Amino acid sequence: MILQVQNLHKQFGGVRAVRGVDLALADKQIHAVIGPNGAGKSTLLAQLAGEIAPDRGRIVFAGRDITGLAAHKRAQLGLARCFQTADVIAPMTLLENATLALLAAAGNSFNCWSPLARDADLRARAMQLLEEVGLAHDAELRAGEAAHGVRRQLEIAMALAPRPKLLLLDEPMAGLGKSESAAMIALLKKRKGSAAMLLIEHDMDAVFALADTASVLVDGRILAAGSTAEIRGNAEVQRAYLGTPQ
Amino acid sequence: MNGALRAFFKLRPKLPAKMFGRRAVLPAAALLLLAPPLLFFTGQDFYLDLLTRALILAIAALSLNLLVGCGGMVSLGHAAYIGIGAYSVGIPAHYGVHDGALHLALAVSLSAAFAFLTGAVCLRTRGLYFILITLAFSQMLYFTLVSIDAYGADDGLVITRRSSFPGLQLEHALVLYYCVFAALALFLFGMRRLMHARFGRVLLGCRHNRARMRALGFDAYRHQLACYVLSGAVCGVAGFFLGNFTDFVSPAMLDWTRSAELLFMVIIGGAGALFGPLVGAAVFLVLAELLSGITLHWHLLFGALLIALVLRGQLFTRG
Repeated sequence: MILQVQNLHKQFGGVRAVRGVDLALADKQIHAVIGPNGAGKSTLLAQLAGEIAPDRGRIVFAGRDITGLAAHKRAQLGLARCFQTADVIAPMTLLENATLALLAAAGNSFNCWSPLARDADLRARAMQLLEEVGLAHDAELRAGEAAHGVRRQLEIAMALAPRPKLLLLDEPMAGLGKSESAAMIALLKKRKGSAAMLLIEHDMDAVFALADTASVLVDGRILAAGSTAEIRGNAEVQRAYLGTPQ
Repeated sequence: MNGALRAFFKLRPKLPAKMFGRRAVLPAAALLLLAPPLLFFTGQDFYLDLLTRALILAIAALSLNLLVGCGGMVSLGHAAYIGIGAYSVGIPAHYGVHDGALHLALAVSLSAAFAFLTGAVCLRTRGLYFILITLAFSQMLYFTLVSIDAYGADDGLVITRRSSFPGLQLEHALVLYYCVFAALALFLFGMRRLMHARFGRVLLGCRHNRARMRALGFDAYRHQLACYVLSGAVCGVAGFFLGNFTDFVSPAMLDWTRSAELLFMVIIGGAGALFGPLVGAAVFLVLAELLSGITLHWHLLFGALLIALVLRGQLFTRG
């Protein structure tokens, strides 16, 4: 198991966003968390990434209890994450963004003297990173000026740069057009097997195309969990969330 | 008038440093290097003083620019480091110790220590809270100095002899000027290296998207604290020069309005622009001189001009 979550709780004032969530994710598997808006999916992900401290419960990542660990330390252990808003560094070019992603692992980030742009090795690796997601031709484009789909792909590439053990994905298909979604599914499929992924997604086609297993989160609780086929056939899930059969 | 104003604000946003162009750097450096002896030997001491003060404040503004422009940390307490640097000259001199190396070492190390201790707390907060807590710490230092009678309290200390280095007498106006010039040149060069090196790039990333940087595995807090300490230490050097230049130290040097003036200089020159602080400090001092010559109520005019410049500075300020 790469990730085990036990009895996770989070309350914001009177709102119990996450109440008693258990999750288990096997190595190199893709697990989808689906559920209606406001079910607590993003809160759950933020707790796993270390941005929100849980009130109760335990998170074990790669055999280590990381419940109280800071976000950047979790990242250093191999836990990567993508944000809902395709968060990249807007004023930097795609290449500079990719370089920055490699820098975290390369270390020596307090160097005040050597020009980063002249580090040929790092630059080549950043270029390769962009090539892998098909963005090499846009390397000198400023991320803030790039299309939303491009920023999403860049963000995935950045998250995967340090070869993480687990990638947390918060609605990677959100805001993407049909062909962009297809490209994103293809990209994630290609990376399946190199890292486990926890996928929050509303796009059911994407979920069924990518995930091995899935959990349904409703009102901060896991309503059902199992293989995607089981979830698809679960009548209770259909009533609560999926609506009409897909 | 209306048309002129509109044209003024609708100028295409460019960084001032770029507005003057890279071609302006060499002539400007040559001017700053060659003009002082002319001023000195023709008896224009007033203008030499103005120039020296501008360069000292440019060092202070440069250190604040490191914080604001590179790190995205807007501080309203930076004059505290000018005060620490100046008192690092004033207090030893009060006891008859005039060793420049000691003064400078004190200025840098005490500034860095104050920055480390206060920054560790300030950086737990963001935005408006950060501004207010930096202000609070500098005011604490201000009132501490006001309350120490041994060092002149409100009235401050007169420095009867400037810092002395082996073979270097800051007493001479030209020697002091060239020391300030060399320090500024050194810091400008260092800043340029820093901005393009890993540290500068990581800082810029943290400035624009802290959450993303943390998710990538960067300890944003430690990088910003390092920036904060470095900035404080550099500003301490500016304080060291200012104390020597004015032959006098007083708590007024670290009044919060001084911090605000430094912030004005950074914004006028364009936050994040390498030569911005130099432009900002020069514009600020020249404007103050010109306006105070025109009318007794020059602060009113000065304020209006500052607002206009800040509005334009906002257009200038870019990642």
